[in-house]
Amino acid sequence: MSRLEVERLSIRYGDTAVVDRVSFTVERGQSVGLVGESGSGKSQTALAIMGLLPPAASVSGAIRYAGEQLVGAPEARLRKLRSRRIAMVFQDPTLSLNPYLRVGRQLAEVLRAPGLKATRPATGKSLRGRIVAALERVGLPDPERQFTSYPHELSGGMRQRVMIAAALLGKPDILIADEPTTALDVTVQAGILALLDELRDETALLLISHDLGIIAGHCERMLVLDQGRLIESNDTLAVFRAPEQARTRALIRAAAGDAGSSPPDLPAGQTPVLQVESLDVAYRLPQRQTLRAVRQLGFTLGAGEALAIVGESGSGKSSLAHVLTGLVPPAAGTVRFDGETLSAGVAARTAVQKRGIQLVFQNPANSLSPTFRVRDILAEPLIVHGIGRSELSARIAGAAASVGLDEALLERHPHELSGGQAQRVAIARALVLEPRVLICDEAVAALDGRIRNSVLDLLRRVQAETGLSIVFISHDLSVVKRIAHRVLVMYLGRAVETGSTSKVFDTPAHPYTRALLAAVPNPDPLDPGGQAVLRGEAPSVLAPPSGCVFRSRCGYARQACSERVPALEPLSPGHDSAAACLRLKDPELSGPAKG
Amino acid sequence: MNRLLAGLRPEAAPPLLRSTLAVLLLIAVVALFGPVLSPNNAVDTNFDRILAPPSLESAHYFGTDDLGRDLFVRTLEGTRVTLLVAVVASFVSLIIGVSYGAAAGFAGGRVDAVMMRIVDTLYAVPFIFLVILLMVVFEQNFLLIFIAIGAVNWLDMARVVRGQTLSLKEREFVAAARLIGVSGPRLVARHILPNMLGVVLVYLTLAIPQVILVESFLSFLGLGIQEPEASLGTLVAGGVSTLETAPWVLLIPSLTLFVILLAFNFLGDGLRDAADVRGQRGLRQ
Repeated sequence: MSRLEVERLSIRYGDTAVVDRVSFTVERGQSVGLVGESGSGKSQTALAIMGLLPPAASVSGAIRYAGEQLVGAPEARLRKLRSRRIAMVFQDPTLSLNPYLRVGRQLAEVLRAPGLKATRPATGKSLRGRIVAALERVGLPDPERQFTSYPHELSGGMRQRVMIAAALLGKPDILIADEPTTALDVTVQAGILALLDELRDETALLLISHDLGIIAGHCERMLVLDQGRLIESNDTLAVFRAPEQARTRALIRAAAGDAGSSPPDLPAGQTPVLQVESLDVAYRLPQRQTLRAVRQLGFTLGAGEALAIVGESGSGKSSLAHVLTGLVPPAAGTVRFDGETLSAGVAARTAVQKRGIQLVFQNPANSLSPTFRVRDILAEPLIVHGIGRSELSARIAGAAASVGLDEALLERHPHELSGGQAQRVAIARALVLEPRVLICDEAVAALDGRIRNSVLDLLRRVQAETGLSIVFISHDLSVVKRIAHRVLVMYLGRAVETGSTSKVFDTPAHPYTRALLAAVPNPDPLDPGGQAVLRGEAPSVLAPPSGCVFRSRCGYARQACSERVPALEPLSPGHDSAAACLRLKDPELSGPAKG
Repeated sequence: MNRLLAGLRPEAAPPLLRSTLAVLLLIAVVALFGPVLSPNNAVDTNFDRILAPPSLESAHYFGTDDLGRDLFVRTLEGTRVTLLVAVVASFVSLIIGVSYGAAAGFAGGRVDAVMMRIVDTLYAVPFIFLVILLMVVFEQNFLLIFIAIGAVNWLDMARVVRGQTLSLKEREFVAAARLIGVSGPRLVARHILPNMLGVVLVYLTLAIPQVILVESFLSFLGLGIQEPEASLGTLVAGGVSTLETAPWVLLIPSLTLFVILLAFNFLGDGLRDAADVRGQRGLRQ
């Protein structure tokens, strides 16, 4: 009976316990979800099981595999257990793969490692055969060719499949997957999760995630960690139906989003604040290549309106944010602010225009100057624009209060703040100039559920109070639903669908929008969502398909799709929703393609 | 200053770093005030006591040289001169290197290319010959040594700072500062330079022993500090001729030089470790 038992496991660094007396078991063939916010000790637990904790960690308690105590076991013994009994897949496949080794050689190392179940080390042809078979098993297209590829030639999802293949080569009894899809796009994530489901006859799974939606759909049992303590351990269904702990309830509520969480009502008779017309963004790359990040994009943003720009990586969302703010010049097209055409570079814009458009970046750890105190961060925009010199400290206190920051935090440096606090500082810095338009570039993507909701509440409140217009750039549809009045869906630099949030979410017209909605994991074990609808992954922006950019992944693609670029056309007369798909104009093309 | 040092973590300084700093401070204090402890001075010759061995009774703690001058006082004064040259020359290279490197890196593009080709060109000039030429053409003086050493040392500093600037200016917090309207010198001074302080400081401490060596080398050749002034380099040079009869004349200044160089190298390594935040994290993400 080979099962994994963790008993009263504690992990300490000095005086800080990051994992505190955690006990659970993983039975053969079971899939167990380990969920918790960042810093709850999920990854530390996984690393302890693998025996990969840094020397500074002191571990107590027991980790038993098939009855054998692993805590304190000699490294040589652990090395034998790793990969052939217990294997692990990490969050970022890009960091896990050696960039200088071809995929085949990299996987061969697993088979050459000592102590594999296959008693003789595999060589030559049989080795290649087994690796190709493993790559095929994880659904890597064209495994013969990928055998000789370098990691950088593969997409993110393909790399993660390679990592899973590597983990499976040792035929482990237990596979630990630590946030295996967090670095991937949502449609790709659905495919990887489906793969993990398939592997269940071969290996037990310990799936670690911050996303309750993922756990709900893919694990029969779930464990909830909170600040290093195991607060809940039960069947997934039971936990969702009747969570025992208040913290679990809060987690589930945060994942589902609050009931009354819709954007504030739009003021009547809006005036356009931001008008974007046939915008192109292009980057020149070495070897005379041109990356066309955004093509022929147009939209209007009204006063007090929140427009969400939705798309996966490579869709051109961030390029759009950079052009609007003037960090990157557009290749063509115009951006008008209050009716006046904006200069390409931020330096050439007027002070009013600079103040008027502000940006909140994804990760406050990167966007706040590390040597500044919070007070100086908030003061700088005021000083630069010569505002409120006499009442500087009053204004700073006001800005901090408006985003719910404690005044004591003003004297701290960014690295002394939590993620949520730091993002509040970033928002306060943007708002202190009283902008007309706030651009949020994945502004809540790096935050945990609870903090994410409070930041969203903050944005909604500011919008209701000041009539701020928001461009909300996100890959996360569940967040978008809670803040945006309108949605614009982008794919490979082009707008494929736009419309009011309810219209796009309830009756999506474009096949890509539908796939995107279907791929979002739903924190409901009975209706988990997270369906892999799309084939493969988005092609490179450098070589988009001819005609409709989406046709390479579209189930409805026809000959006509490769010949014409579909225009964004209104779905019904007099309506502001529009989609770019030939099928919608031509009933002949509807119905799924054969083959 | 506290803010400038936020990148470093003095409270987390390893013991080696602390003891190295203590040794350097001790050397500096002794070099400054030590001569008071001796009844002798650096220039008086005493032909009755030529090449006297170190002894406490005669108050020639380190003995005397071939002109009967007290080696204790001469070594301390030599240390003082050596440290002064090192600190001033490093400071000169710091100022020039940081401003030049930051300007090139921040301007970028063609300006950067031209500025760095100038640096490349200066690298190609055979430095020692240049200094010897300078020394021969102009009168030998302290100032010239500072200029000569600093003029060469700033090249490395400029390259380091330029590289840092290039990478820092692409960081998001610099973009964020641009968006709130910060530009030009304020952007460099407040958002870019403070963030490379750790690197620059480390580089500076590693450059100091280089400067000391160059000064000693020049003095050893007779091109640096001139009699009756002494530096550790001139003292070592003077000791070579009496190596067989009075080894202490060579050994004492050599050892002092050795300890100073070692201390600065340790200091640089220690600071580099302290500045490397990643190295201090016990937790893995």
